[in-house]
Amino acid sequence: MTDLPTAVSAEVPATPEFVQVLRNLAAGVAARLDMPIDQIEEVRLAVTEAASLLLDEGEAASLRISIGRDTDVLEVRLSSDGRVDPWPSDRALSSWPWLVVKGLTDEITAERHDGDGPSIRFTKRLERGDR
Amino acid sequence: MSRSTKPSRPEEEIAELFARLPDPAAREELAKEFLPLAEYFARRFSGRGEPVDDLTQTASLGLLNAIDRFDPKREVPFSTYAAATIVGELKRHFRDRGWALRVPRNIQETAILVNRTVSTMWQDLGRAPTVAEIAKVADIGEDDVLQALDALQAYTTDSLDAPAGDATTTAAESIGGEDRSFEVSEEWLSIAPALRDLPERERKILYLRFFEGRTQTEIADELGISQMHVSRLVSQSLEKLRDNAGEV
Repeated sequence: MTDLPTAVSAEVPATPEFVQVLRNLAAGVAARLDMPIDQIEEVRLAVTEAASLLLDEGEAASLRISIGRDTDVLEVRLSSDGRVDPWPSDRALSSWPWLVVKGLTDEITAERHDGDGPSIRFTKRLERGDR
Repeated sequence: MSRSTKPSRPEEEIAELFARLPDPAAREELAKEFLPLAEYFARRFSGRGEPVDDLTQTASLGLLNAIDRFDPKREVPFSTYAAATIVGELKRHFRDRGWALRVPRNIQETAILVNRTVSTMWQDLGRAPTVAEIAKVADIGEDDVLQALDALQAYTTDSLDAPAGDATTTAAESIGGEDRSFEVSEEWLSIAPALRDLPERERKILYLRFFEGRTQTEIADELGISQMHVSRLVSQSLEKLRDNAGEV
């Protein structure tokens, strides 16, 4: 669950093919926020990288996404049912995907709730440019 | 209710009325005579969320336009000519309200259209357009735009996004003269070894974007290329890195 009102959530098998489904979902919600397409593309890339990070960790069988939105913020939480301890691992925090998600989004945190697998949460604020 | 859409008067009388144009009385007579035709098409376009009264009004406007523009010397019967004009007016009505009465296109065609629209709009607006803006200009649905944008990412977009003349410029040249001898640090290569295989310009863009935390606009200014180009090179090179790593 995200902190913002959840617009969409979904669960898919933890395989690369299904990451495409997740990123299109996020892009769809970003478009409803009226984000310019360069920012939508950054959301899409961030989902892809965050998902690939989770796919690398703890032999996950499924990936969950939950996308929350406000008038001008998108909040994405990706989690897996993989077993990793500790989370976030040093390896994850110094990985290329982590660096990329950090660069593409406004805020990134790695979390784990009791009994859940690892999750990555990031927010992307709509920048309206000159409008 | 099946009402006839045919005029009640004989053809000769209709022709006479056309001959009297632009006499307002004759115009009104003709409009009354062919109103059932306008009503017929208004009903055909109903059930799409627009009140039928609005549609009838729009169809009637189409009919009046048809009366004013019709050339009786042509071989086409007036009702055929009017039908086309009325349908055109109704379609425009829906389009203006963001409703799509779309001719289906294949994805590739749409992708090319969207790609072209994005380039023009990005240049005109000085920023990236939104999906809704692209949909409006390209006259397609927002979902089609999203699908096309996704399809465009699937290409290796070199051929699509390389601006004219780019091929004659080497990557090093286009990076710009006042380059503070760019060297990729070992630290950063150790994080993503596949970076070694990227062309220098893409490597530099990723470095500036993700190690130095620069914005796309800053990078565009520094490299002297458009922000759109930076955005696409970022996507493209991240894609390449994943391909090389055998991931997603």
